[in-house]
Amino acid sequence: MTTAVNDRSPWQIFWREFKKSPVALAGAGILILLYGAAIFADFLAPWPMPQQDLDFGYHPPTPVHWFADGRFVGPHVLASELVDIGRSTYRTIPGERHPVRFFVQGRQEYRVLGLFPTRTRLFGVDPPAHLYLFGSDKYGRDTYSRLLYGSRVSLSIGLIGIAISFLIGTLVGGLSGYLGKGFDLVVMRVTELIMSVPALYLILALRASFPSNVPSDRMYLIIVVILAFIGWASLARIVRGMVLSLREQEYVNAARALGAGTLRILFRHILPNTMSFLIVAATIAVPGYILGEVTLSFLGIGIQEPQASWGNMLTEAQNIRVLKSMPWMLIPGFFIFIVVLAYNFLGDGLADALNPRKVTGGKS
Amino acid sequence: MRTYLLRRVLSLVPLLLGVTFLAFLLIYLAPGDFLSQMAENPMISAETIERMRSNFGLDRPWYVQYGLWLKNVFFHLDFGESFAFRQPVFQVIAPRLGNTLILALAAAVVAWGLAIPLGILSAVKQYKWQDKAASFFAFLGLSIPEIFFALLMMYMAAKTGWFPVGGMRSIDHDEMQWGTQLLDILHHLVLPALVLGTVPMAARMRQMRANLLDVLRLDYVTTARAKGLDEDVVVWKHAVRNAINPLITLFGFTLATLLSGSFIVEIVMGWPGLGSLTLEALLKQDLYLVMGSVVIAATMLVLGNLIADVLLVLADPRIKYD
Amino acid sequence: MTEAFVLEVRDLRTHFVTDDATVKAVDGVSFAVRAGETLGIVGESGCGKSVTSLSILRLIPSPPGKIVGGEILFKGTNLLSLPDPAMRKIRGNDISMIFQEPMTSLNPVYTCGDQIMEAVILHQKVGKAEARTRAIEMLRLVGIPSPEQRVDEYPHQLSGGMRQRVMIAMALSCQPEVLIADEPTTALDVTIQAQILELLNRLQREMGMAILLITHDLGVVAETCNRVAVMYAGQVVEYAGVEDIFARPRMPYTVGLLGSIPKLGEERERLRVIPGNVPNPSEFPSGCKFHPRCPVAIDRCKVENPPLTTIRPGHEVRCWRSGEAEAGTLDMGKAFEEVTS
Repeated sequence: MTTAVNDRSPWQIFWREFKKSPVALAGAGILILLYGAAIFADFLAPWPMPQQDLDFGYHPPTPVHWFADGRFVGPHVLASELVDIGRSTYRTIPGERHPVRFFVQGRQEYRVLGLFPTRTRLFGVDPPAHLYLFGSDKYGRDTYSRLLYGSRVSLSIGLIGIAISFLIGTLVGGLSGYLGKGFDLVVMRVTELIMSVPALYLILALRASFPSNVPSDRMYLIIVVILAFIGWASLARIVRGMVLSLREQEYVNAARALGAGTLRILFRHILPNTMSFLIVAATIAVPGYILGEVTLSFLGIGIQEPQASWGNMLTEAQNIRVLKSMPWMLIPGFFIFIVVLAYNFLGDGLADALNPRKVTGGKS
Repeated sequence: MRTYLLRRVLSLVPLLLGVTFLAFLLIYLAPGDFLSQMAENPMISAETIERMRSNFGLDRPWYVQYGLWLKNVFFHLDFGESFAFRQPVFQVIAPRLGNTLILALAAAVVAWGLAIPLGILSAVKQYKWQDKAASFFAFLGLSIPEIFFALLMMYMAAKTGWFPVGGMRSIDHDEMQWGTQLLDILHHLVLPALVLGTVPMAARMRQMRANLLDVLRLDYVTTARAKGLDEDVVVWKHAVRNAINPLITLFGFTLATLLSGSFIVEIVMGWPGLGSLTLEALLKQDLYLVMGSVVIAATMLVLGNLIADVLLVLADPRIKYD
Repeated sequence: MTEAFVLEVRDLRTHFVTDDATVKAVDGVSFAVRAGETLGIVGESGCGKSVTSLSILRLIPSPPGKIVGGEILFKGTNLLSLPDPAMRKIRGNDISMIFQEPMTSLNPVYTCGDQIMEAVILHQKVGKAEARTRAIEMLRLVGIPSPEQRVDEYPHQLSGGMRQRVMIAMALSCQPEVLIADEPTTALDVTIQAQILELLNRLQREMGMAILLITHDLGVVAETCNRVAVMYAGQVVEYAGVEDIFARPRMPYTVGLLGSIPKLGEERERLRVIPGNVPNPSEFPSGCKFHPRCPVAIDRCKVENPPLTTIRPGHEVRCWRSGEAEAGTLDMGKAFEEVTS
């Protein structure tokens, strides 16, 4: 069985191991699906993000019917009307059937991938009916649509955050381990400092040092900067430790003897060897970044309305009355859970695939 | 051991200096200060604001403020006064810290009380359904975001009425008997402790499982079996005792992370602890209150690690610090 | 005949089942040992000798290991058919075991005394105080100086040789009838090795137990054993008295093993080794498992595995050409010299 492995490239071995884990594949599949949905949010969402309908606040999820009077007529919804504005109760208007139409022309133009202008959306219903797949919020906005738009913020912030942390962490940690001496000392003290403050306290303190009301796009940047500022420290320490152990190995000495410069040795000979481990570490770290954004937005000091984020969509659910009678307001939380779960599945699968601990027969 | 402890406590000093400096700098960098929010109130005159500003020392350069604060802390153990509460910082923090401590301890009990038996069960029944079920729940527990879990528990409490929806005490708490008061707090404690304890529980369970599986492969376990010991004795007396050591060291660490990590749970579930206090203080730019909280949080983290080391020495005869 | 054997292993088969393959780690092994006698089980690492010894006490980790066939008779009782509680009464009491690695064979969190007392209390039904006296006695017996102090020390406070003595004390604390020693001296310094072997010999004379000595070291075998079973690829390939093994080996593998130990006074430029490697347990060759490495292999060896045949009373060999060697028409030793020089 050893010969069978030896004639494959590391990538092939990795893929073979990775395929063996159904949970890892499921994790990867879920993430591809969710990120894909974020990219094509405009198409998949029946409503533009800011669109609201104040007469339909806290509307429960609209059931989609397929049969009318025992006959199959295709997907349709029943129009509904407000009964009690105080308790936000609705009743369906009997007989008012509105078919769910596919590839409808929306009112607002958008660009697919930021390039091709179009109005086509995957589905929608004609007024006065509403199709709230996941219900609506206080302002009658479609939770399903906002979930899609919000995913653009909440899902991308993790990737961008980790990318920046990764860059800083690898560079600083690599140099720290390779150069040693004063640079190393300073870097290690700084990382210790960052890691000795509980993360949320640090996030909040950092957040406090920026103005409280800024436009969403700038707030997005601020959050990324804050999360990356905290996140690079642990990655730097990991890289430093690995560089320290790799630094003295034969092939590095060989490169040095051939006259390669510091940075060249670091980037060409040492860091590539730490990559597989770092990729696992980074994958496992992404949920932390996502939750960082969610937390800030949830507390009202992150992404601000009307821009949707999975965090600020949950803010309303803090209200006990809302929580108790409008449980669909919890749906964004469920999606956060799914994303974190998927990343953890993927991270576990990657770790196993990159470092398979093979169980062979008994010793003798 | 004593010199080791002393050295560790002394090493806290530069760390806390750094942390407080960082906190001070960040709050200084923040636009405005505590009084600029007050200044928006038309009822308060500009003169009053200016007078208060010089009273609080907010008109001086930040490094002077920081120096003064440090001096007071160092010579008088005086952490300053909260702007908002008009009380010494420690008086404000103390009861809140107590509440957070109760919550953290309860969460630790939940976490460890479940993690260790489940981890052992999982390892002993490796690859059987018990193991698979426990591992699956551990994975869910590790992944469920605290915000979502807390809200979910609140929803459950609101729907079923089995538990109070948030808070720490019932409205009529003060009229209760001593024993009923305790039960009342415990009743309020269940859900927050469960939410807070789930992540460490899942993490420790997985660790306990992995440790025990490693230990069960070791030679001395075979030795114990070769002696004719019952498998239960082999597992519990010989293997668990060794597998649990690394976890004992983590107990202190867990406690520390729970203390500083109870933030979300406190805010969502209305538990009047240090976390919610700190958030308020930060939003109001209540400078010294923030400083006090940060110092406390960082100290807890470091002390937790110290406790961890001491516990390890007690648990493992091989380890000695001089 | 059977009655004289305290331990008899018949046709033992232990397999390991993994996702990829079934590994026949022990494939039909038989041997027997009398009280007061030492049987050596010799072979290179991976030949199944440790699995054999663990199988006797039924300590094979399962899954993936499983004893799929054979009998292990202890004073006539088949251990493989005993219920677990009865088996536990045998372990450490009637049959005990010491291992290769004294550094890891003792539990680091209990004192040496505790670990010896544990077995005594379990099997001899005595109180703590008496067990402690017994532990000190045993420590003295295995030659540990100031046993009253050592009894309260932790394993990490002792040297490797001392720990192995503690292991022996523990194994012998209930006066077992069989002691299985799995490479008891491999991890020790040469001088300590000799001391431990001498200790085992002395204790055997005093206590009269049978010893099953698992080793790869033929020097150890020569010093301690009465009979020897040579194992290769999960099977016994030669089984004879110690003099026969050293003076008249009839299996090429044994001949090769003997050739690989340097002899005093013999001038040779380098050590002779058996060419080739020990086969991977999941890819045993067909026919005689030794044939790819055998200098005298014939076509028949490649297709048909020879049975274990008695060529002389008390001397069994698994080789198609053992007859020729016995008759003097084939010099196996010379054949080895030709392929290695």
